[in-house]
Order: sequence, then structure tokens, then C-alpha cells
Amino acid sequence: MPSAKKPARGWLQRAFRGRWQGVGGAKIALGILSEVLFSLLLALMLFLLGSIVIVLRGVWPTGL
Amino acid sequence: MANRPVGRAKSSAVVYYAGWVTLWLGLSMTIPLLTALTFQEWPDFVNFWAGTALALFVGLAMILLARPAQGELSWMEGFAASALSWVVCMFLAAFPYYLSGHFGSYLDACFDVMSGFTTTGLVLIQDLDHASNALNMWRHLLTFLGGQGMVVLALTLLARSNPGAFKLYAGEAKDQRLLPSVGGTALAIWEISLVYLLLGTLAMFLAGLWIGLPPVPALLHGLWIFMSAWSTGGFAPNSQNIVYYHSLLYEAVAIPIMIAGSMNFGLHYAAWTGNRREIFKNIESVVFVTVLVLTFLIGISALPLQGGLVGPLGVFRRVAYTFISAQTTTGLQPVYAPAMAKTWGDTALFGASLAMLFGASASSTAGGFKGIRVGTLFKALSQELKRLLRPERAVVIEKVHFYRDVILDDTIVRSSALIVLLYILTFFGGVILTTALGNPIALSIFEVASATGNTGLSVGITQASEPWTLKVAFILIFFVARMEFISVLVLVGYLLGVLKSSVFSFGRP
Repeated sequence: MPSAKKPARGWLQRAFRGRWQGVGGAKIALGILSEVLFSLLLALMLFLLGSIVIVLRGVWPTGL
Repeated sequence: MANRPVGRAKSSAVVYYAGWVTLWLGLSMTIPLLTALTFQEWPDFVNFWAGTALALFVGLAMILLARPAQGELSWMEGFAASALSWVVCMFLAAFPYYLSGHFGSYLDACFDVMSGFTTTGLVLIQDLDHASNALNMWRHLLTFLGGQGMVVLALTLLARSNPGAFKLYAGEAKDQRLLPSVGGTALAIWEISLVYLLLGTLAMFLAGLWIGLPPVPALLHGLWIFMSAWSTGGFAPNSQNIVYYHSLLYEAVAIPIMIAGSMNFGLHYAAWTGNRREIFKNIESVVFVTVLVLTFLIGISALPLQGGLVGPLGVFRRVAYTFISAQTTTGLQPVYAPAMAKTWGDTALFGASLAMLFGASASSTAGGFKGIRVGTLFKALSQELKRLLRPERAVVIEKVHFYRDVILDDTIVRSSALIVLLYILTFFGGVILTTALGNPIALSIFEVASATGNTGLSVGITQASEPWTLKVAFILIFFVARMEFISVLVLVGYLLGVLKSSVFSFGRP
């Protein structure tokens, strides 16, 4: 009969026990990707806003 | 944090815990020492050998001569030990700086160390383009260590030996507990930073190879720019800062690192443990996006658009990048300081100054008022307006989403208002001094906002030839702003107490 509580295996699992219990590599990767996505969306928003403002100010595109 | 009773401190315990932090500083100095050995930079090897020996000697002496707290550490001891650690570490970390010959005086070396520790990024170093790899490693390591927290580093071991270790942690202006134990929190902070260190350095390294840097410089520059961006420091291994690389790719790779570095460690922990929506819902993220967009709009609407700023890409690389750098309080500068001073105009500089003052998140590596305080104060303002507009008997409840919905009460509002008020007073004090020394008001506002927000963007006021009074004032501004005032005030009270007791006990049996 399998035991209900699995003991921590290996030094790596023991080292992180308590802080990252139940958190797999995939979950961490998704967390990092979400943070990067947030940054890129913000940068894209500023790029678009900047473009709109320079069009409204008549600075760009020139020669039209 | 501002409302905690601090009580009386025992000098022995304060010195003991500051000694542990100093010891860690000495151990971390072995990294530039090994760098000097690897690249056969023998003069720097000797400088860092002397620096390591001095820091280890002072740290050990402090630990051996003092005693740990009996029982739990008091708030005053925790706060005073944190602040004292930073002061002692500043003087010791400046030693190899001064020996390198790149600084005009020991004060200049202390200025750059405090700028690094507090992740500010304003510098007085001379002939940076000929600085050794070891010196650059130490400069960027200082900002990386300071960003996570000098005390946080020591706490990974110390916390096990004292139940009041959280007070040391809070004294360094990080009072977000990721985990129930402070030792676990300190380790989690380091684990998050080290994962980002690996990924961020790899990304910057690949970008460096792409733009044509040889492998070893690509790796070193990648590591240093990562450390600078993640810890929102703003240092670079060359005098032209990020402009040196002349690459949109290299600049762009640093953007997610700057923004991630300015996020609360609690937010990283929440996202990494599955609560990814928190990134978009958290009050600090909402404030960050709102302030960034508004200040950027002020800047871009007022900026004289000429030269390299005519197209959308030019505007993004020069203006949006500067505002991201300002709001995250990083200080990586895509425009030369004199060019910024001459061509940006007062309104655009004022917009960037506002971004630097508001800053990013609490319990992160960033500076400024911090999103949680700004969000709390705006919510409190909204609550007051609703109270005025609704019937007298109506109960107005305002909530702030900070990992969970928190009902706004007077204690939270008062604490936020007090810290923001201290930031504003410090800022005005700095502006008065800077203008009194003959600098134009708009440039003074920008430079002092950069110092108060621990940012590092510059319009050229900060330079080795500036008066010593301004250097000392800026060191103090970096320090009090990074520690969020309370610890420094407690340290001053503690030192006065020690002085008073030694004067009155002089000559007594």
C-alpha cells in the first residue's frame, strides 16, 4: 500500500521545501512569461501612444 | 512601518547585527577579487585583497566585541542595526574604489557606493571607459546586493538565530512577508533574483553576441546590464550608458528586466505560485501603468520633436524608454545628459521628474513614493469625495487590492501620507540646496527627483567637480529615501542616545 505522505527526495527538493512546495517548473515559467508579457504590452502601449501623439502634433509623417 | 513603537536600543546588539552584514560584504568582495585574478588585473587584485581583508576584519571585530540581543530584538535595535549596516558598508565598500584611482576623493568613492547600494545610479567615477573588469564587477555587484537588500543577504543565515529578525528586514524598508518565516522570505527573494539573473544574463548575452560583441565582453556586459536593470540601478560599464551599444535590440531586452525588477517581490511570488492575474489586478501595477502613461503623455506632448525624435521608433527609443527607466527608477539613459538638459524643455523634464518621484513598487528594488502609497492616497481622496457627495448617514467603504481586498482605514492612510510627506520635504530641501549652488531650477528639480526617487537619470549636475556640500547632501538623500526615513531617524536617535550616555557617564565610577 503506498504511503499517504511522500518523503522529500534529493537535496534539491529538501533545499526548496516549504518555499516552493507544490510549485513546478511549468508554473514558474508561466509566472515569468506573464511578467514579461505585462512588460511588453506596456512597451507596445507607449509605442502606440507616442505614435498617435506625433501624428496629432503633425510632426510625423512629414512631407504629406 | 511608521507607526511602530521603537523603544530603546542596546548598543551591543545593534553593533553585533551590523557586524554580520559587514562580514557578508567582505565575503561578497571576493567576487571582484576572483574577477581580477581571472583577467590578471593585478593592481585591482591587490586593492580588492586589501578591501576584503579590511571588511572581514571589521565585521569579525564587531561580532566578537558585541553581543546578540537577549531574547527578541526590539524594533529600535532592528532599525538602527539595518541603518548602521549600510553606513559601515558604505565606508568599507568605498575602500577598493578609492584605491583604484578612478575617484577624486574618498567622498566621491562613498558617493558612488551609496548610489550603488541604494540602486540610484548617479556617478562621480572618472575615466569609466578605462575601468577594469574587477572594478566594474564590484560596481554592478554593489547595486545588485543593494537592490535585494544588504540585510536580506545576512538574514538568510541570521534569521535562524533570532526570533526578532523581521525587525532587521523591516528596517531596510522591505516589510512584505512572502512566507511566514523571515528566513524563508529572505531565501525566496534571493531565489527569485537568481532565477532572473540566469535568464536575464542569458538574454543580454545573446543580444550582445547579436550586435557583434565578442563572447567574453558579451557575457560580462550582459551580466552587468542585467544587474543594473534588475536592481533598478542604472549603472553601465561605460560613460555613454545604454547609448554605447547603439542597438534597439539591446535596449529592448533590458525593458522587461527593468519592469520585472521594479515589481514587488510579493508579486513575483504570487505569479510564480500560480496567481498570475495578480500582475494585472494589483494596486501597484494599476498605479504603475497609470502614472507611466500620464507622465509619458506630459513629456511627449511638450517635447520639442526634432533630430532623432521625428519617427515613432525614435520617440520610443529616446522618450518612452526614458520614461520607463524613470518610472521603474532604473536610470539606464538612452539620451546624453547634456543633450537632455539642452533640448528636452522644462515641461518634459518635469514629467520625467514626476515619474521618478512616484516610482514603482514597495518591497522591490525600486525607489520613489511607491505604488501602494500612491494608490492608498488616491483611494482615500476618492473616499473623502464620495463622503461629501453622498448623504451624511451613508457609509463609504473603499478597498485597495493588494494581493487581497484590504479595507482602507485611517492607520494605513496616515502611514502612507507620512512617508510621502517625508519624501516631498526631502525633495524640496534638495532642490533648495541645488538651486542655491547656482543650478537652474528645472534641471535642479530633475536631478533631485532622480536622487530622491533613487533613479539615476541625470541632466549633468552630478559630476566630480560639483561642490562637496552637494555630494554629501545627495549621499544623505539616496540613503534616507532608500531606507524610507524611519530607520535613519532611529539610527540618529540611537547615536544621540549613545553619545548622551557616554558623556554623562564620563568620570563616574
